[in-house]
Amino acid sequence: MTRATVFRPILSTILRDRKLSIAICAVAFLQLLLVFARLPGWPCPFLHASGLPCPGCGMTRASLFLAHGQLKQAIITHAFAPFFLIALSIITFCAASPRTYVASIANKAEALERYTGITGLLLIGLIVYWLARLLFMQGAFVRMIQG
Amino acid sequence: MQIIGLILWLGCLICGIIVLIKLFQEKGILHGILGFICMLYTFIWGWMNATRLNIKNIMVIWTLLILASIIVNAMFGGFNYSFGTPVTTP
Repeated sequence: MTRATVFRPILSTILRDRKLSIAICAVAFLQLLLVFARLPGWPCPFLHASGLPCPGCGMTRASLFLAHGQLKQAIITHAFAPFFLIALSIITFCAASPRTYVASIANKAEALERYTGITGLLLIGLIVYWLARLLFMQGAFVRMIQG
Repeated sequence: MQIIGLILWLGCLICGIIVLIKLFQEKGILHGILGFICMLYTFIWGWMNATRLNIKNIMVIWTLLILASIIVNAMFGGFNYSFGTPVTTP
């Protein structure tokens, strides 16, 4: 993976696509609402087909823990939940804002992504975190995700 | 019923992987990783680009398989995910 790939903007491309932003917000909030109401949410095909959690498994529950102010429990469930909630907040804000604001925010986000590569590094970090949990604490990880 | 549930989930996974490969090809490695981390993103992106990428049939099959899996699991309790979970002894 080259430096250019890691520093390629992702969040800003999502922010600029209003239809995609609205769809992501709608589905994410529906998922959070369903899980909060103890109803079946989006089932992870990877988990159900292989029996192993995918890198994003546990994110909804961790986000709900965060929303309830249970930071420790949220970090234990999924350490990347705070970043997910920040990204979702930015996407939601942009989905609901006028286009001129969105362009300004997307430009700032793109500059930050190109300068720091933060989105790429977070995504790679998430994959490393998932592999580490699978390799070193698989039993506990699977039990926690399956509830 | 456990076998049916497993077959349905495998179908879901295969459809997901097909759309994920399209996502990798169209948007690059990082979007592909994002799609792998959050299959829901792959699902949304797949439906938004279904006509352009000519994957409408796959998306319809994927959606139907997900609905069928949810119904089968709700009716019969799904299959037991014991893989990788250590057996606890008293």
